[in-house]
Amino acid sequence: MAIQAINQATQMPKANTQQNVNFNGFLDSKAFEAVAEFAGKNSATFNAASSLLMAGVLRPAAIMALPAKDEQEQKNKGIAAAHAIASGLIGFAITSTVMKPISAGLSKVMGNTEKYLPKLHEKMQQNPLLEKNVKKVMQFGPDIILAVPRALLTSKLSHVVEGALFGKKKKAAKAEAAAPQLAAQPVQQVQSERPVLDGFKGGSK
Amino acid sequence: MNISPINSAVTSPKSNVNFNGIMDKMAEGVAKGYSKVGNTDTFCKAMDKLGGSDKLMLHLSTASSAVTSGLYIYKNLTDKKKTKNEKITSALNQALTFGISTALSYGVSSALGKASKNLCGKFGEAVSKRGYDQKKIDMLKDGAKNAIDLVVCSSINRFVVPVAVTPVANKLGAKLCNYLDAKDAAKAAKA
Repeated sequence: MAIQAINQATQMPKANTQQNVNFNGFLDSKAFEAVAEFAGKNSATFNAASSLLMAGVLRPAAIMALPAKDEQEQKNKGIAAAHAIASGLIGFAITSTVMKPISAGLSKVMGNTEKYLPKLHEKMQQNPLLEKNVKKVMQFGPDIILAVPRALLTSKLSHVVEGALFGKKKKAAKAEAAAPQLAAQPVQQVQSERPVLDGFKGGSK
Repeated sequence: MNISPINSAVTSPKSNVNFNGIMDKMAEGVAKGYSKVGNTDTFCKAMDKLGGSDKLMLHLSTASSAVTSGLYIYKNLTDKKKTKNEKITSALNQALTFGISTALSYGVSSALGKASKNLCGKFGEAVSKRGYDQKKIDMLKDGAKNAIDLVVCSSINRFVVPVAVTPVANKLGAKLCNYLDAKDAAKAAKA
């Protein structure tokens, strides 16, 4: 439904509906141009920051805003939110460190296929789809290899995030459970009829 | 619908000289590595077979997601710090997110791509009337494509599906957990 709506909004003639006018108005606006300019000039920062914002902030916030039937559902939501934050942070770290030289190396290869890929160069010149697919295979190769450490690191970090963000509630719940036992002790002490004997801790001679 | 982090990683022209020197050396090393792999007979034969596929990128993206999601599911199910309910719910959450995202990628990726292209085209038309030079127009078009792709395509896999799946996984996890508990209790009663 959403896709149909987007298609309709983009394919309808300009003056057909007020909604379409507003949509085109947004694309024509200076605000969108400013976003496009920032994204065009700083594509790496824009992609990494927007991914981090989406996975690390908006997604966990939306998950935590969902209603929970009981304490277990609330806890499961916390786990899902912590996983989203950890995944966003690890993705950002990998993108801004390991992937940079790999991406730069791939740009070099695709910019000079005659030097780096002599066996495929001629075929790629004749077939642009082949060139596109060679680039994609080379992009996803390291991505698939890095998926293993990425998943393991995300799994570790999600425990840390969960403990940091939702650990207080757990501690508070434990403290509440322990509170009645602690409160019972002073009452017993007050009721004792042998305060001197109770306080005596010496050994027998 | 490409969500590979390699797309986001581009060298910054603003970096200092020493860093660029190191980056250049690293990039050259990576390029030589790619060259070695890319000129092997196996790679060339594989590209002869697969090179004409217009859905290759989608298959690769799915393979990458399958490895990551598979590992998340395994790590969740073997996590000793989690209770039975938490293990099952987290694993279900991952599995459902992967399944629905993949189904959507194969089912509607071309429609989403079309919608994104339409919006980019409209923005390009609007920008070309503003009297900018061609370099700035190209830069703005690239930026608009990034922003529109993010909203139209990436947000579905990274935001909409994971959020929508969470309450479903919670309910299914609780039901599955109760079912398994009942089964265990029945076994124990028989014994």
